[in-house]
Amino acid sequence: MLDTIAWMFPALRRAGDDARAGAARAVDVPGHGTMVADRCVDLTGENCLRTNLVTKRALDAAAPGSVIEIVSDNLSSVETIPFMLAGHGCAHLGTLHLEGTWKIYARKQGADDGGSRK
Amino acid sequence: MTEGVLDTTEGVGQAASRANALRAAAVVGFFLLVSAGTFAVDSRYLYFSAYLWFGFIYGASLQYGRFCMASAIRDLFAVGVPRMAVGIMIAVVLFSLVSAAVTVAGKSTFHASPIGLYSVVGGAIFGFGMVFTGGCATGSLYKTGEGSVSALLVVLSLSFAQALFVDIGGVLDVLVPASWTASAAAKSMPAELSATTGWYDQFLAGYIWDLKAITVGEALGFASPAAKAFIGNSLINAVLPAVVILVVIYAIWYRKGWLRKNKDAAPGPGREVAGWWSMVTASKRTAIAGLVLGVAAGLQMWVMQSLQQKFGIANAGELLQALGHTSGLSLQETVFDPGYFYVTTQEAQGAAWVLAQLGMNLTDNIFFGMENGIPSPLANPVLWMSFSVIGGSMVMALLANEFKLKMPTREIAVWAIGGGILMGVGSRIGMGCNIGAFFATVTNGDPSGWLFALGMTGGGWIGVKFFNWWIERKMAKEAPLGF
Repeated sequence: MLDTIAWMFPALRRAGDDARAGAARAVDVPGHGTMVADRCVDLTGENCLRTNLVTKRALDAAAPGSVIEIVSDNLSSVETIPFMLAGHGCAHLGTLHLEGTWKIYARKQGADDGGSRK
Repeated sequence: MTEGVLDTTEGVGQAASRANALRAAAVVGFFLLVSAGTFAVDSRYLYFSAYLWFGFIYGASLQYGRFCMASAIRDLFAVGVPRMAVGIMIAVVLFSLVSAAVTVAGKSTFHASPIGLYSVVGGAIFGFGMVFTGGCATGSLYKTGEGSVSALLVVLSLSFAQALFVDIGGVLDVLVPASWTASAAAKSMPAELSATTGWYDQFLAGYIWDLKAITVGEALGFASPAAKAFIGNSLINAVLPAVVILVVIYAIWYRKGWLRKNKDAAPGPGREVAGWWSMVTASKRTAIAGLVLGVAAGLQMWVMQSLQQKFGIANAGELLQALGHTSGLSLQETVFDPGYFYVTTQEAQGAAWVLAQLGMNLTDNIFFGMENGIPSPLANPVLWMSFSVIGGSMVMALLANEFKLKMPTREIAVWAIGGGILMGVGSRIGMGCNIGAFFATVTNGDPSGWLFALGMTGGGWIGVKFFNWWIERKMAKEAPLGF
């Protein structure tokens, strides 16, 4: 028998896969050169509210000095997220527009602003 | 880019696409062809084209500014970002000033809505629904132009929900107060209508029609038309409330962060004004879009009224008859023709036309049968505006390489359809959406728009709280995120 709740909202029945957090990796940030993105959150395909709320949570959880990469194809969120950063102790490093998606880079401030890691 | 840069979605790395430029040119060419072709058939189709090109401007501006009233409420309550709310207030101020000038010139097409609690209730249902869809009524139209299939689902569900809701009877009749039924029965409605059955018919004839509609300029009794328009309608009903809202937003959501960044600024009123202005101009995209929307919305009233005078008509229904489109008119031989920026009713007409083709009779209710009619989409000038909002947005998105066909996940599709249904119901109870019941009303001196905004904000706040809870619950099951 069809589990309609699971069909409509799969994440309530199992671990979801629609917000993906990647491991640390080297990234090329416009104007800053190559640096390590300590956390990558891929929110491609998500609506704006979920994108903003997950981003908020990721920014709050980031360690001081770490670089966060947010990937989104939601234009409204891509416009809003840089304005969120200061309120969560982060600086906007830049936004990269790729084919159909945007990558927003932010550095969590504090701990001697360890974002100089390259 | 440097740290703290606020030019956001401009981004870096987007390559100019010749293919997208050609696609954009094709969309513009299509609209030009429609305008020129219909004008060649009969010059009075200019009336249709006026709606079409204003819609195009709205769509392009909305897309450029990522302009969405759902974002305004959500971003404030969910993440404390005032960008969109600021943009809307800019548009309100500009629209109200241009509207006042248009009114004084005798070119206004605006009619005030009745003032009553229904605006708060409709706004609350609409606001709650739009949090889940990811866009308001206009936001969903322009996002459809960006290639979002979930936004298209919102538009469709909103449209069909309205068409069905205004005709619904049966069990909902139990909820109709006896006073509504009595008042509706006393109005001697045409025999073709069943005004004393059906929830929405009795809501209109037994409740809404008994309420008083008045603008602030009229209520304050200004003798001079200029004072009525500029002081009563614009200054008191739009500009001052918008400035107060911007001050409240500054104090609650912006001031603390601005002071943190500007520690050296000397305390005093100058510092506060500088901070407030910094908030207003923080997102240039949104501010520019608000400016263009405000001016264009005011100008549209002037253009539509001028065309009505030129063609000697008071409603597009007369024009349709003269052009040979005699089907789909209301009993009063009218169709929906606000003469200004409006969304939702024309989409309900489009959905009703589809349902009528499938055999449903939707002409026995007041909304379609007596007031708005169900013209074919090709003969519905206001629906042309909705199509061109999508087209204008598509052109802008293509030119900026931002167009992307996005299929929704099942969950997002469910939210889109469910939220769209609530938006449809809310817009019919509130007599419009964020545009028709708020943006176009508060800017023309009609205080009912602020009641709708109050409800929409309250509904949006509850929606954000619910959605936040939902996200927390969902993320708790998403181990890979790790935060």
